[in-house]
Amino acid sequence: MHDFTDLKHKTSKYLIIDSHIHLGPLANLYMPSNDEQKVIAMMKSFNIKKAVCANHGALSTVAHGTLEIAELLERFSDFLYGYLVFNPNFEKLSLSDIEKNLENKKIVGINIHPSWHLCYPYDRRYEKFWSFIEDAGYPVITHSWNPDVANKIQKFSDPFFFEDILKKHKKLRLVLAHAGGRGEMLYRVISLLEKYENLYVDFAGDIFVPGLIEEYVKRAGSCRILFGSDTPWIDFRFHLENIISSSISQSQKADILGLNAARLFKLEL
Amino acid sequence: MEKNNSESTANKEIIFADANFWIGENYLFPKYSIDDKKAETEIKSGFSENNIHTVYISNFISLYYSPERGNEITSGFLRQFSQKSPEAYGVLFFEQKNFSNPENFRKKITEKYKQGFRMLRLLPKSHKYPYEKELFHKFYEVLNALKFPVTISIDETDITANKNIEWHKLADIAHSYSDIPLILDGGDSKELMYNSYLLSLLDNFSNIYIETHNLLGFNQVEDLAGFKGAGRLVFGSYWPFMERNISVSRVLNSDLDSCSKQEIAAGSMQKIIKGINIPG
Repeated sequence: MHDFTDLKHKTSKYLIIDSHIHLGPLANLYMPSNDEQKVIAMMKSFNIKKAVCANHGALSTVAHGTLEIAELLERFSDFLYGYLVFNPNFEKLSLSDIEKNLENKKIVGINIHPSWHLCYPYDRRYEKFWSFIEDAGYPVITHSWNPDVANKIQKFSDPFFFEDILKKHKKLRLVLAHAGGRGEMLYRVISLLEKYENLYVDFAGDIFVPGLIEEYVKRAGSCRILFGSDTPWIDFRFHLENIISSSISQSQKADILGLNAARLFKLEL
Repeated sequence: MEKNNSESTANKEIIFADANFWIGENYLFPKYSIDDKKAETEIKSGFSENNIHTVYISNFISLYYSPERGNEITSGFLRQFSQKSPEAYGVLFFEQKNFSNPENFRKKITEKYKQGFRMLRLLPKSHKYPYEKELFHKFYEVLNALKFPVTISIDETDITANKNIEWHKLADIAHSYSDIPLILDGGDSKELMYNSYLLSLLDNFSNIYIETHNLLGFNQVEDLAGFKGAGRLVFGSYWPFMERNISVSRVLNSDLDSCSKQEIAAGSMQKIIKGINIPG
């Protein structure tokens, strides 16, 4: 019989850090329960100790986005860490905004989203950013997806575009969020993990392919896989159950659920 | 701790009926190909591991090769499997030869019901046939009279594959044939993007039901259940594409009372099946 002990009990055994959430409103996404307070209260009730947030606002507006994340980090200071977002379409403004706001100790990384911003990561508009962030030493989390899908904007986020960037910026620590997202790409990304020791992945989003976590752990180990849910796009409970019921050891689950994020982002817990 | 124990006990008592369970040869992904032996093992393990007492079987052969052949294979599987617990029923795939002989459709559905089929799956996009009311009305009239449930994946109504779902056609069918339980299954779509549509459909048509496997958004299960009742949600695992632990766990760990969880897990589907108007 599957262990029907409720998820709250099962998660209580681990340090859990969700390294991929988004807060704040978004025009094309209506969710009745998408309220920061409610999301965070629910996460806490399932023993998630900390979360790292890229707010929707920062993806969509340079002018208001950083203010919004600063406000959220202050409001939920016991729970939230944050990503700043680099928007290559406002290269200078966005980079100087990042430089200024890295003083905030709750900022632990930078988020980029080539598909959202319709700009390839190897575009010249990203060049200064890559050099700056390698020197600054902050991890970067990027959207990554299989370009061979109906949604054409995913072509900007091919995981293999990052290979040259990793070769050039050897100190850069990069997280491929969604691990390539769909189909065979999810498996091809493992070869990148095997090759680049500064590369990490999460399975945030609707990625619940049976046996996938086991395959990653078998080939690349458990130390560079992060628990990221993509809440509120995906309810974190799906991901918690997926990791906890996977066929890997308890210590490997502990790595994925929180220890890896604590190490990567140097979180003060 | 007491709360954990009582929740755990209550969860153990919740039984599931799986409205979205696939078997058969999947020529695209060998790992998702489920032969009869594996199907039987999985149905039994779903029963022992996840309390899934009933499965409604869709067959990949019906999707990828031929609905006729797939329906026959499912029928053969049901004959062989025949047992009380866990129970297996078939999902009938619409056969295009019905278009040249619509008068025979009622007889066909009745026959298939006797073979163990309990709902009809429409694949208008994959199999390229019309499903709108104006062109499919002869079949809807039969299904309406028999109160025979119809399931359709939202992906099947997204002709461009770019999130242009034909919501108006679904609304039209639900409106015109109010005795057909119309179960919308998310397929591979992220249904959270369509909350406003789902809420409006549930609000306006009492014969619309939403299958749960892809209600992935934060608190989406609770939000939809809270809106028009848990009885409008139908549990589906989408196995073998998703692990059943995940879909079962989402219902068990929802912020709902035990009655609502049970309603979603199996109650709503049981009511739909009980309502079918075919004698014997």
